Amino acid sequence: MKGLIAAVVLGMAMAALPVAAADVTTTKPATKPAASAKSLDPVKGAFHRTHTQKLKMSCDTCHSAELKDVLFLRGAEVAASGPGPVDRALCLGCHQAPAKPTWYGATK
Amino acid sequence: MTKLVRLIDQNRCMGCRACVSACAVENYFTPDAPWNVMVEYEVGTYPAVKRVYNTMNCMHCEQPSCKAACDAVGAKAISKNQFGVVLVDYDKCIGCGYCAAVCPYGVPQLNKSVAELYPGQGKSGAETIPYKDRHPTHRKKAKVVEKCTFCAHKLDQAVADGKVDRIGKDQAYTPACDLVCPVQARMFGDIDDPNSDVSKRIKATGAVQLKKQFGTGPQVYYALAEGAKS
Repeated sequence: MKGLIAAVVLGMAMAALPVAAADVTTTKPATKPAASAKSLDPVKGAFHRTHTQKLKMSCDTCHSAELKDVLFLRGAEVAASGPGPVDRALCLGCHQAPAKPTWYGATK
Repeated sequence: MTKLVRLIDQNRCMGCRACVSACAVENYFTPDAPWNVMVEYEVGTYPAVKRVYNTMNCMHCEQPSCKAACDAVGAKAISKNQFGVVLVDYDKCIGCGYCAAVCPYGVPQLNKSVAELYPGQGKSGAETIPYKDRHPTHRKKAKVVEKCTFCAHKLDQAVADGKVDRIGKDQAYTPACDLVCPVQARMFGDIDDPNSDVSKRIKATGAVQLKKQFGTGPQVYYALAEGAKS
């Protein structure tokens, strides 16, 4: 009897296997995202890690208490306790020149 | 080809924020993650000073830096459709925030939690549509990025109805913000059609894109007020 039950359970599991496998392949992203939800985290995030630890940039290289650029869709005021917002114009120094890592005009 | 663009005329805008309200109601964005905001600043030297009203939403760039960043991290959640509209796929977004970090205009908003438009007062308007029946851009999720879609649900409806030529003309096929402006400071349409109203007005007003130095090719044009920043 136990053998029969085991065979039935095994059969059901085998029958469900292709369906489960198909579900997994359809929902799994084609490439594994290199970033995580912590990317903007000042300590753990890859975005900050690249700039501060690998490139050895200080906070005030990018952050300023006074943002001169007002043409910016900002959902809320920047926290006063933080290092201040980043003026995107500063990014252009490295991220737009040819043959450098670039986001701006990157798909030209 | 149809390339949809928006014109915002600062010489007409009076900062009433009807466009912001219309967007909030139409797209029930979370207040902490707005799709459309009014930026105000002053220009000139006393006594010759004036206030500039610069409403900002997604620029739907031709070379979107948000998409470049998203593709680079492997999420590939951001795409451009046949009209040049930049859209975020909430199912693919991993909430890394790279797009928000690189957008020159600060457009992408990481929505930390899905909140009601009128907290504590129940659902209103389109919020009452069952989740599965909503347009994909309205199937809100926490911890993903949201932004202006040029009211993609209306554009998709125009395609479904075979009325692409009515985009920017009929109420059903025109973004909510452009419909409600009481002083016609906003216009929406096909810039690839030289005879479209938006094409003519962009030419007549000498409207320009903001922050052209970034090379992203925004699809939103501004007729700048005297002394306004670009």
